[in-house]
Amino acid sequence: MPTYAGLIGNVLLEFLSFSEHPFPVTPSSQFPTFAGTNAYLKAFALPFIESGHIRLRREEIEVEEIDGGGCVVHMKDSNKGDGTVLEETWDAVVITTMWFDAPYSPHVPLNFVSNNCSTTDRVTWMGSHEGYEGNVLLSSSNFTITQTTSNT
Amino acid sequence: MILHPRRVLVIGNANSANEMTTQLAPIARIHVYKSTRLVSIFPSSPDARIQDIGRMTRYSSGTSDKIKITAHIQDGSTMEGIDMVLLGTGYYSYVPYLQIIHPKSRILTPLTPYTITPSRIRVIHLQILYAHNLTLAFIGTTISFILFLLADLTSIWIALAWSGTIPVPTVPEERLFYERGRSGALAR
Repeated sequence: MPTYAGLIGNVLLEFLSFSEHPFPVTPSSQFPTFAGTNAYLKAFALPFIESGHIRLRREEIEVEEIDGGGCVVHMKDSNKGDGTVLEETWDAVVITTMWFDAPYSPHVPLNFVSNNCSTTDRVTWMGSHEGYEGNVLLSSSNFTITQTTSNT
Repeated sequence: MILHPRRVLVIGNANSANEMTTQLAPIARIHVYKSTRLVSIFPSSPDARIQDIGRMTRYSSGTSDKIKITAHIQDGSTMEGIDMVLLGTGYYSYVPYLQIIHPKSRILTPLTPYTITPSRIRVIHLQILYAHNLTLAFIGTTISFILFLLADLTSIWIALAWSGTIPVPTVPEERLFYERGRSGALAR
């Protein structure tokens, strides 16, 4: 789910289309709503889901290159409820997950004492601490302080 | 949680940072301070209350009020009494589950550790194919306003390359020609 259910994107609809699948243009707006974008992507993907080319509820755990070509892929299958990890060998792999879930921290020293922050301001950082060791990071969304305390 | 920060510093100059400064400006008592490094290609709404203070060198605790933040600016000046710093600085290009065979040691190793600067998918032909193994490809290595179109275009290019319809240099050294030029341009 998005942060805002009423989210409206800032890319014109004509630039949000895959080949031969034009994004429906609504008279009321040149810009996409979350609901409209969600519906467009679902409609685009549905035939591939039904044909088995897209498999849902699988999470890549490891993708390891094979010498000579291809990869061994370990993926968690959540369809059966027990989190079974499958191992498959693929001739080729296309990776499309980048830039989305590892927040970038500028390389600026944060000589910051956090112990005086009130407990109401503290929210435990749920992501990876890799790369943030030794720092206290203040970041925020909607005025909610998120704070790493890996060195405090 | 409702907070009432009096002095807010926003770091960054792309969509996230610009959106935060735009939303904060109308309710700011005096200024919203913004720290940027580069000229931005991203849209922003000019507002007299948004003041760009330039590049930061470090932060420290306030001298009199430890809960506040002092920002040290590249020109040698400092800004004290900051209540809140908002980082709108994006994401690492990070694929934690991917292990490639190191070309020299032949040991499995991550392709995208956090230590890569600038953060990017490296050793890559035209920002799409891993130079040492053409069966590994990436879509979305670049940040784009038109991500659906670019993903579509990249997908078609991969299909054409893998089917042999369009040529791909035969040795890794040649495949890295574009990346070297791009890295050199970034360094300048």
